[in-house]
Amino acid sequence: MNVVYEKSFDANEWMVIISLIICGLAIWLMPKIFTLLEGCAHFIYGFFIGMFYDHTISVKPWDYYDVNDSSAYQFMDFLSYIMYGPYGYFFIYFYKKINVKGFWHIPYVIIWSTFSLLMEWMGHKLGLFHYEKGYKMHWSIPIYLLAQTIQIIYYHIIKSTSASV
Amino acid sequence: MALPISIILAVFISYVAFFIKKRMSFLLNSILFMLMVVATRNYITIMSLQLKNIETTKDQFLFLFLLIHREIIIPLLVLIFCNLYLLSKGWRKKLGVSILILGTLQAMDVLSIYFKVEKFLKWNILSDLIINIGYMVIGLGLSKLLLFLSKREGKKHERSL
Repeated sequence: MNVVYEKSFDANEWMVIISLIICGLAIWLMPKIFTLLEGCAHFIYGFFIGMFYDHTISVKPWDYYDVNDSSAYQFMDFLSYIMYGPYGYFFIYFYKKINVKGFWHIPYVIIWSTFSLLMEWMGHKLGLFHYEKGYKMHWSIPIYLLAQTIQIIYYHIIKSTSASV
Repeated sequence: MALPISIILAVFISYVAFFIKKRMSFLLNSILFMLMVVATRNYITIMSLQLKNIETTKDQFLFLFLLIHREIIIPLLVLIFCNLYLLSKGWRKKLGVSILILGTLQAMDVLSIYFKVEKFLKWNILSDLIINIGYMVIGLGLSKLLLFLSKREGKKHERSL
């Protein structure tokens, strides 16, 4: 059954659009430290991993939350997945820029997971996420930690394979 | 039975994808893989949630079959196809690779119907064949675009040296 939370074009839609514009501009204006394809890969990773969780735990049989105004799949849902792209890009951008090494990986991943949680809390308050079946926000912490750790591994594999070419 | 079979198939397909001779680098293959996963996810979600042309399983274990099929098997088969197709010389080899991969994709769909992971409501196996051809064409188009961009970047890099 399709659950409709609201029908108006309001805060949740604006959050997605404003976030996309600001982050898009930031990517464009900031100094480039990746090649085009490397940058694209990390952008797509953000989009890919966000969409993976949303299309896995927010659909039946699990269905722990809905995105945007209804439980149906809308165009705005797709845009909200693209919104994850810049976060994936900036996560690895600053990782490379500040040259994270050794045990500094732990605070780096914790800071980004806290930031992701903060964004999720904002999204929840603005009506971007609607939790169901008693889903709690802190359940997302391992998801963020895992997604970011995989991205760091992905970055190092790209680096080592392109160095060996 | 469905879940072990899908895991076994996913492992073997992963082996093939890992060991075949590849036309594209790890970076290009990973981008292609992620984009193909995005395409399969959107296809399955739109077909089941929006258009109600297919019904996906509500069983938690069978849903894992769907996830493995959607997230690993289809994208890896497309990735194998693109690499082999781009490496093959002569139309016979290209046709052989295309038929082999299309047949495997189609067999996977038949398997998901057999195990009741998916149920066709307003859909049939022929329409599925068209979608699978679509995946292969999209994959090939993306591969050519990625190779073009990679070549252009290489030239730019050479110029800056």
